[in-house]
Amino acid sequence: MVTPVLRVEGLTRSFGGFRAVSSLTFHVDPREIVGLVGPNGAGKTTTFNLITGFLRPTAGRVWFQGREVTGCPPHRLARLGLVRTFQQTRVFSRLTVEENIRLALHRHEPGGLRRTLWGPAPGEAAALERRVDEILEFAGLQEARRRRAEELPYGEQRILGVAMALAVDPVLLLLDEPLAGMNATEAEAAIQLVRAIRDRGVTVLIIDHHMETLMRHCDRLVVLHHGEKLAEGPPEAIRRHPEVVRVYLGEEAAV
Amino acid sequence: MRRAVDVVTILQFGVNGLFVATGYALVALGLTLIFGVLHVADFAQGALYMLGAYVSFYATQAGGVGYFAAVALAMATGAVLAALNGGVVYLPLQRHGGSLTFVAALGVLLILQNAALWWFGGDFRLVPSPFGDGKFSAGGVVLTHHQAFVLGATGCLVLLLWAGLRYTKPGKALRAMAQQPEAARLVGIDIQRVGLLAFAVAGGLAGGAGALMAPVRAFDPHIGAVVILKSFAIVIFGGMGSVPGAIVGAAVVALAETFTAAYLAAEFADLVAFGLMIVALFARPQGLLGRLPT
Amino acid sequence: MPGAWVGLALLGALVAPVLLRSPSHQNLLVLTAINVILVASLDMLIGLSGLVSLGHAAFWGIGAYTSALLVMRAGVPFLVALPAAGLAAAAAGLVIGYPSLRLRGHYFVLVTFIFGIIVTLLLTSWVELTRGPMGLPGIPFATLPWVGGTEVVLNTFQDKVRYYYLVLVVALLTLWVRSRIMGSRMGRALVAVREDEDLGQTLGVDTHRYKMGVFVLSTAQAGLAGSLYAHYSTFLAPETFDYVASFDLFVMNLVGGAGTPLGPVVGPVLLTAVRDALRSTHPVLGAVLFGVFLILSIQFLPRGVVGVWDHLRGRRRW
Repeated sequence: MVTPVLRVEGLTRSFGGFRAVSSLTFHVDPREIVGLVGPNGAGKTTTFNLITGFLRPTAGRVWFQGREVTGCPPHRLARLGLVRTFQQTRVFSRLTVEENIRLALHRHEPGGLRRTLWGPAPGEAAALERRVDEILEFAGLQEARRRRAEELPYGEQRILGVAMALAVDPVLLLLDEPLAGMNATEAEAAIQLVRAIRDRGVTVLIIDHHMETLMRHCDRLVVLHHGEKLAEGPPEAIRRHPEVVRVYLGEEAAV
Repeated sequence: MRRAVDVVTILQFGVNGLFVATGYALVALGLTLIFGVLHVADFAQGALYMLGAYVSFYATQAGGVGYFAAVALAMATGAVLAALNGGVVYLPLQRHGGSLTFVAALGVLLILQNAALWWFGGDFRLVPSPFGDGKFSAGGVVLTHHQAFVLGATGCLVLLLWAGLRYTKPGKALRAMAQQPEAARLVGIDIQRVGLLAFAVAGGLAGGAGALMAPVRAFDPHIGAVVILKSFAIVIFGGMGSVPGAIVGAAVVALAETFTAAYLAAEFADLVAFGLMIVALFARPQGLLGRLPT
Repeated sequence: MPGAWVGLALLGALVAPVLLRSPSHQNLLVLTAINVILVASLDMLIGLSGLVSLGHAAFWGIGAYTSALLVMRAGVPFLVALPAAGLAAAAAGLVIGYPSLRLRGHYFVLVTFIFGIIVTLLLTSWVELTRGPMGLPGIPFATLPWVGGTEVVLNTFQDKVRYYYLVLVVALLTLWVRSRIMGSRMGRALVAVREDEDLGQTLGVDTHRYKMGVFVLSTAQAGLAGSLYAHYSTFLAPETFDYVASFDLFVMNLVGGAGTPLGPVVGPVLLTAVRDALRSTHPVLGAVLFGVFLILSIQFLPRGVVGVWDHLRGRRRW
């Protein structure tokens, strides 16, 4: 049996008396695309914040590639290869697309006092430039590379956010509603990008409201409701799961 | 300078300390109110305290206005100037967000303080109290009539503020903004108007505090900076945005510095207030009675 | 900013004492150069990293008193006291920065502001050490070792030009370090801190470490400026380093153009003379003007005078 990329056990977080996430247990295997779904307020983003070190769990543990990382700060997790995106579009809006990617390559750029004062060693700058080019091409953002991020259309800003996460070279990518606010074409392009990322060997955990899209593209789904796991399994099983059908009956009809 | 350590002396210092606390408390309340709504530390409130003192001085000495009317006039002046300052300087700065507004507020304080030096000169002033030298005495502990009046007036103002925040519609909007800004925005509370209201109320309290303290504490244009820094220490110590925190904080800081000045050395009195503030910032960043932003 | 402008500014700085021969003008040159060190170091916090410090003058003061007292009381040579001043200020920066840079929001500006007030209070009330409000007179001139074991005494009452060049060397070093950092990996990490710290962390940037680094470096440079000031004026008083001084440095930074390559030069060059002239003739007007400058530049010139210049020339950068 392979070691799961991510394993979460008994994860719990309360705010005051309110349990936003309650005894949540699930795992993500290598090269899977797993969807974390549930109605608003089900605790999806809180779960992300707990996994990525933005919040401390009240109880429970998190393992990443077999190594316990509970309570690890976000930048350390990013270095280990656990990288997230944010629900709202988060890019450095006043910087150009290129500068955004360049910044995201922080982890791959050698540092040190000598380089700060005298500049990078020969070849290092060119190597980084190549990486920038490669990522821009992969994300389809070459045209926009010299534009300020805030000038991009909404959909492209989101893609830039994903491209930046990709630049960190993640093992596991956590995408928080990457499709929110996109029209059908933009959403399709974005989900194709996610699949391409997976095909590069990256494991993906994704939150979204586009139930249908996730059903089509995820290998497995974890359904949250009131902070607890309601169901887990491949899309077909989830679709027929009695509890899920009961909870989603109203919403499903609306989608 | 060793002081006697007997009950009467200690009680007397306690009374004096509480009295000092009232002046700070009114300014600190205004600060905490503005901070709660707009997240601005409005240092200019200190200048309004100073201007309130000068208004009461010139109104009673040159204008022939009675002291109590002068206090009301000082409150009105403070309220108008604070609202003006809020509307012209801070609200347009909100889009820059963050820490720059702190620096801008400091700028406004320095401008007003120096403008006052220009117009009023640097002499120390004192306003004659309408109560003369009358004092209460109980077992050797002395409270002047004016001190009693200030304590009473402060109590009334705090009560009024509390009732206003609790029972009036604008007051409720103010509390909503401070406690649940997102929700307040959703139900359509106008941040600008509520913000201006907070400024006006705070300015009124600061101006009033200046006039109330003017017969007891000699002042010059620099008093504004002294008072605001103390009040600021109090607000941080008590918890930014917390109304009870401002009152408790004022009492703690004023008592601490009164006793330090009495039993250690006067020079250390100021250090105590700011020391408490630093300790509070590091040990409990949300303050004594404040809550951490979520 | 193209290299031609930098070259021109450098040339101007080098020939300035030759063109300005009166002692009062040369005095302004030295003070301007000291302010360039202070504003350039402050700008690494404000302009580059978005960390608003309202206590920069306090670190300057720590450096000044450390250097003066080491030379006066311990007989330490100037060339040892100068780095010691930088180290003392940096140590204070470390102690203040470590906890306050961990917290988000307004804590950093609050802590630096309060720290500034506490330093002024300490300098005023620790009379045995600093002579308090009476000020510390008779600080020895800087001495530099020279060939053949002789020493050069930089008597700034008789000759300000040599001292000006000493300060200029430190100022140029400060500017050079700043510009190197701005183009480096550390500079990009600090831009991430300024623009969106959470996002920076998810990209693997250890933001606290970089904030600490830049703060300690910046306070160390302020400490060096303090030493240079102490042995120039030979007299120190607590109010030189109070929160109003921090505020004035802030204004110079903003008016010059925070985060712009030449802003930390333009601000002090424009405002040091103004501040000095007004301080002796009309201090009240001076304070009012600085306040007005600040509010106007926050409102209307987010990138200061340098920004206006760029705008007029049709250039724009982040």
